[in-house]
Amino acid sequence: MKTLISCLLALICMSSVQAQIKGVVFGSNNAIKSKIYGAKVKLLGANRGVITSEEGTFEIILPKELPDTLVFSARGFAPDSIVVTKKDRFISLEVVLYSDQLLPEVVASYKKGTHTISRLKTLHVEEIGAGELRKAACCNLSESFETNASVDVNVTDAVSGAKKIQMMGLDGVYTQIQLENIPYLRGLESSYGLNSLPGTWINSMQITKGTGNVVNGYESMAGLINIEVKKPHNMNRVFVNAFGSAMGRAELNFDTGFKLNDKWSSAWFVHGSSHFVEMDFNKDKFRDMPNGTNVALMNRYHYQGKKMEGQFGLNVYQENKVGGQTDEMQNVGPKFYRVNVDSRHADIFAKTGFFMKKPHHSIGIVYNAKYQQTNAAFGDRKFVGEEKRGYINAIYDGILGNTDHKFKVGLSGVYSDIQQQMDSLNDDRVELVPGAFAEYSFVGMRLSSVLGARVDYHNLFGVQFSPRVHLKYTLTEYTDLRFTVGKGWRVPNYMIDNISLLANSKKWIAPDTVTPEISWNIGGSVMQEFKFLKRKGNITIDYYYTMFENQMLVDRDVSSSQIVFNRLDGRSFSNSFQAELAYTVSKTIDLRFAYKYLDVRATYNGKLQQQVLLPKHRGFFNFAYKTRNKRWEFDLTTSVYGSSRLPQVLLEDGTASTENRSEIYPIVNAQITYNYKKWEFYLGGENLGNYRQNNPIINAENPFENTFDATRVWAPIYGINGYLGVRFTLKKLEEK
Amino acid sequence: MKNLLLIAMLSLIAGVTNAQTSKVSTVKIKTSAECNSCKVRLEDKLNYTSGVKYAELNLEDKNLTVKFNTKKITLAAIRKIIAETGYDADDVKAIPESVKNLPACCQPGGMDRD
Repeated sequence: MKTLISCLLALICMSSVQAQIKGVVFGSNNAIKSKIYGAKVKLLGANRGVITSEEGTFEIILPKELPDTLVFSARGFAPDSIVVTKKDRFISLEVVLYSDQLLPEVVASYKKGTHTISRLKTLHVEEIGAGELRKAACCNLSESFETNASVDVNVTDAVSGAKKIQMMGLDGVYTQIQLENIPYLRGLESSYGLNSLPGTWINSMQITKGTGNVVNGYESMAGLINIEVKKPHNMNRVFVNAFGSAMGRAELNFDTGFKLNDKWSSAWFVHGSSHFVEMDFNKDKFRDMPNGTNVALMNRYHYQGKKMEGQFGLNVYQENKVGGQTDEMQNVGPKFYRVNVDSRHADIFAKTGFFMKKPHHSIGIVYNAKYQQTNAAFGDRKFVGEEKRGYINAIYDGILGNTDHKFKVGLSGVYSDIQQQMDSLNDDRVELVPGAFAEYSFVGMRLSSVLGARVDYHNLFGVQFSPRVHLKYTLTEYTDLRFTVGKGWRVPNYMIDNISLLANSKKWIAPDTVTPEISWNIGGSVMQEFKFLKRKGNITIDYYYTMFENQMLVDRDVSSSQIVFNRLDGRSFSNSFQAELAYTVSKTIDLRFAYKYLDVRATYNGKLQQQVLLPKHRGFFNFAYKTRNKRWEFDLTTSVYGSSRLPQVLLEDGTASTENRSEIYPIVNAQITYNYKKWEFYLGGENLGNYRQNNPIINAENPFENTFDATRVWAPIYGINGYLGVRFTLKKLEEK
Repeated sequence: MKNLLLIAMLSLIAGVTNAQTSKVSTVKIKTSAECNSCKVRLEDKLNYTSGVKYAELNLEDKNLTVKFNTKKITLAAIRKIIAETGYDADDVKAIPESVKNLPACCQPGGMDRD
């Protein structure tokens, strides 16, 4: 740790030598703000110019005679200029060039690049672009995080195939997931929802650690993940992907985007996948993964008028999974243990943006209606859930004086009618949550800040006030410091949030009342860019502390035969530290190392204890090699998981388990891609170290007995897996 | 599965050793490329041309670096391909019909117009 800090200091000192100015040039066009490659940056007086790089960045050495005028120009955008003085040495600039049409930020949100942490945003935002997403060849949102160290994906039980994300060691329900700025996987989709978004639809993702901005709601407590799907007006004409794995999974994806006329464009997305081969590697007579099918469809439209821009879409999804005992057990024994999970949803969304007469002022309105159902059966235990949801968010965007001072104010409304039933328990609720929010952002030469607050009135739980502050300070041209503090809250759904805990015979003890979960998150990060042996790299160190004021705790320490849901009585917090080093070794090789420390504790059974099934230490390594002619790509990711505390359970013979720590284990994934013109072929392997948990299911022979438990899962259930796939792309035609 | 991996690795190694034994030359060709779209076009065209090891365009000085196997392709042939794609290559002028088919920003002077 100490050496790390001294290294950092050395780097900081090393970097401030020449009087130069750095920055990134963005172009804002058709609601898309993207980095411009090849934009001209010229100092008028000194008559010296440079061209921006692929990431839109530039560096220009300042002349002795200052002030001078810096002119930015790129085709298709109106040129812009700023005056630079002596004071501006060593600063980072963010330059946005606008096309003829100005568009509201609410609709804007698209970016390119593979995996970067934006230096310009005030919030700590990790950007995952299409390039990074292609490294994980398959299949849906949960796999998309495989090459990322900030988000963990966990299998929550050994029978239903449920996967959940984790940020800062906190359950995925505390991370707000939004689809193009609309709250998306929430309510009934908190446990199985990751499957509903096919990976090939995704254009990019933005991961924010800590509470996000207030504009999109109150539910981001540990983090915020925004997902951008491909847009009709700038996506490829045709994209086809076929995939097959040795584990008996096949998948087909197709999407197409086209122009209808000058103003309208449209896109279709189709996804079908099927897991049709029964696999039982560990011979426990249970399927390692459930079999089943998954179908998802989306149709969306984009409208670009003179004074208005709009996006409209519809998406439907259906999945059914059958897990549990293998077919051969059907006629053996008195009863057959099966797990059935059926989920479906229909979702309509619209976004409209209107430009005001005043430049830089606009109004954006987002509408969303969703219907979803999830039914699950774990042997004799059944869950039935239904949810109707409506959402509206209206945002007024404007500037105060100049574009250094921006503000957003708005109103939102959430309607949610959720019904859940499990065994003999019921949890039905109708929520109406009107809210109002305001956000002010200031971009200075060194200090940038976003100050926001929202007030929401919940029809059942009253008023909640959520303030949030984000600051960024540019220490040197290579160093950024960030700080964040904020409050988030949500209403828990103890049944669906923990549905995997039905995969045992333990009795659920329902909470007396359901009250909102409230948390405060405070944290900060240091990002240092450096050059070593002429190659670029960066180090990011961040630390966040999350403290729960109120929480729905899942207590497995009260008894080995019960699962108790309780209002937090005592303390609950998370300390999360992460250090990441990214370095470009050569033109063709990129390396990424990360280490993460998680200390997540809460008062379980009256005692402050580490959360179960959560490794304290995690290591991550990614190696990427791309040949200079871009034909071959090799990618290798290794994660090492430390030991975690396991819940104490009763073993087959009725005695309490004594081994309550998990082992340390590695996961190795690799992929080779061959590009040839319109085609890409890829071949990959998952869990190449072939590490498996020996007995993921306790008392698998007698699934209807008291000691049966498939929820003590801390490592992969299946071993090495190979897959093969192909992608075909017809690029968008360029404008003449 | 393992065999396939092995074949992929072997073919890569074979490619590398092949490059060492046969005659390889790296040249810089001055082009008339204007924008990123030009870069993609030129690199895609040449990287999938037999005999070319790799092609990289630097937009700042418009130089295209090409590494190629002189037994499989000549420098003149590479320049011809560039001209056919719609760009000047050193002294070889771009084919006018190909230039017409380029998008707006790739037209000569495309980056200087507003």
